[in-house]
Amino acid sequence: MRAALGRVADVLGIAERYGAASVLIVMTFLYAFNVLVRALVPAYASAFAWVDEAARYMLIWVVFLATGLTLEVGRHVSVDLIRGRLRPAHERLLFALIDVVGFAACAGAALLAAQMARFVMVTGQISPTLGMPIYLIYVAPAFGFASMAFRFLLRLLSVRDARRDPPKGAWLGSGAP
Amino acid sequence: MIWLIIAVAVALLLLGFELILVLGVPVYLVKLAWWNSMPDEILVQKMVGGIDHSILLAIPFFVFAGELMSDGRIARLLSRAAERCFRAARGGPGHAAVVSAMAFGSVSGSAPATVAALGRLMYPRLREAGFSENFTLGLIISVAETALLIPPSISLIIYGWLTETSISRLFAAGLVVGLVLGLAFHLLVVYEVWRRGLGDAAARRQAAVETARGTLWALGMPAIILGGIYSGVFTATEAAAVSVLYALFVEAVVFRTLTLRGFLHIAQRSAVLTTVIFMIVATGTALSYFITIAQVPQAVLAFMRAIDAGPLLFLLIVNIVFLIAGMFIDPGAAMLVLVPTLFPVASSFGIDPVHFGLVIGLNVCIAMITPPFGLDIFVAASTLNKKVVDITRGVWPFIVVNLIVLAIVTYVPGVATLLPNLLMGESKIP
Repeated sequence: MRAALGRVADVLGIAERYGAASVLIVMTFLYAFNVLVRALVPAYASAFAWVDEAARYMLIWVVFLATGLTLEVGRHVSVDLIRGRLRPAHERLLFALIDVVGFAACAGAALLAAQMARFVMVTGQISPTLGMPIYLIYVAPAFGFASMAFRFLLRLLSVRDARRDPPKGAWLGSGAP
Repeated sequence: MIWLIIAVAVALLLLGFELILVLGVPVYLVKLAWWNSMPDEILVQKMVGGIDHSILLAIPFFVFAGELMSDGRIARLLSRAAERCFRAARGGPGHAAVVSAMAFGSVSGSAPATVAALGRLMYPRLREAGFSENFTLGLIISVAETALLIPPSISLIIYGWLTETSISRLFAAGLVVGLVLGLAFHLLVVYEVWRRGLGDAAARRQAAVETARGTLWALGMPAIILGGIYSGVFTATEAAAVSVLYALFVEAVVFRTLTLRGFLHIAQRSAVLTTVIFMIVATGTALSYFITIAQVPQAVLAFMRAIDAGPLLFLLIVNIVFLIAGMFIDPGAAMLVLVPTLFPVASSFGIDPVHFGLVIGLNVCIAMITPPFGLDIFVAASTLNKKVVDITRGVWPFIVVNLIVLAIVTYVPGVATLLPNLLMGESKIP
């Protein structure tokens, strides 16, 4: 069971890493391209009015695509001044409490986001310049919170826990949290 | 009830819950207690709405550009150029640390990233130059704060978004206040050098003026950001996007330090760093919404009027509130919670939004280094493998310097508003 969960986490982690990075790259190039078009060939600038809206929606997707992964690699901000001073048994208990609360909160938020997406889908709203169905931006938090809930579960079951076993990987670099 | 919810938030923070839970759980409890008739989905709507702003696009772009430069040569060249400038000065590494952090901050916009990237580089040089362990550690984490003021500053972008203040004006003011803070740190280094009798004459004689190949390319980055914005060619967000292209061009084509694999890793890391910031922004936005509809700003204003407080006393109270809040919670989160409450009051007192922004910006800087929970203290402890208590001991002289600069910026508004007014004319106070 734990091995299977670990494999799911591996596949999900890779998909999120490359997915979020790809959306970030496309978003950046698209926005920079729009600026250059406006500066160099202003006559065509109005043809790319949709870029700002697309970039904003992409940012929402970057954030929620990477939020589960961010939790898995231990980069979400937290204060570990007290928990680092606890006895191992008490620390385990505290970690379990954090993970149970985190799982419940994120699972609940995922459900709310899914309901929001369904509600907006039924109304048939579309975005002003892209003509894209608006519900798609609420699918992002549904995915992101579900992914976080899954990571809290992995921590609770000690399948992946950055607090005890800091992740390694060239992509993480040595940068700050 | 409100005290119970605040107690829950404090308990979650102290117990080491992730900050999004520290903010998110109380938001849900507030909604449940006072606005239970509202649909729960409003929380998701507010969180997504908190991210969905054009102006905030500048943050991922600057994070991406900063990661490209930190991983490549641009940041190192800027730092080395600063070091060369001060090689002949007494206590040169101390002054070089200040300027390196300012130069690095001018491309990264993040204080923790500056501590992490420059900490290991600066520490041995400062110790070799004779600076004490405590002073060295204090200097490393304190100078990194200038990154939060010198453009591109992520905290000023968030303030601009929260208050609809021009980012260009805030950047111009941040540049001046960042330089003033840097100058204050230089003076502290001078005092420490004099007090301890530091300075190696032989090393100073050997110093030679060197030209740094490639430094001009590195200097192109601040030129694009500042020149582009103040010449009116770009907005701050557009300058951020173009800065990514420039960093990519210089690192990949000019310096040839960037591989496709390296680029992908940087993009992945940037996505994670962006997420860390935006999950706090999203949750903080939901909390701000409830603060606003609960009419907390109006209550604060009524209280200020009741105690007959003028703008000077109000700003003093703001500083004290931020100082205390910054000791315990993440300064970004403190900003998201407190700015929507305090800004309307500041406006009603006729305080210039740019001036108020820089007062807040400096408070955010101080919060990064204030014990017990200053984020930079923990980053330095993990980067340099030092005890938190040792870093805490060294940081107090720098906090005093910060407070002096804060007092100057608070009570001499011209320090913050002079440059933006010169560049863009007088601002209109709402």
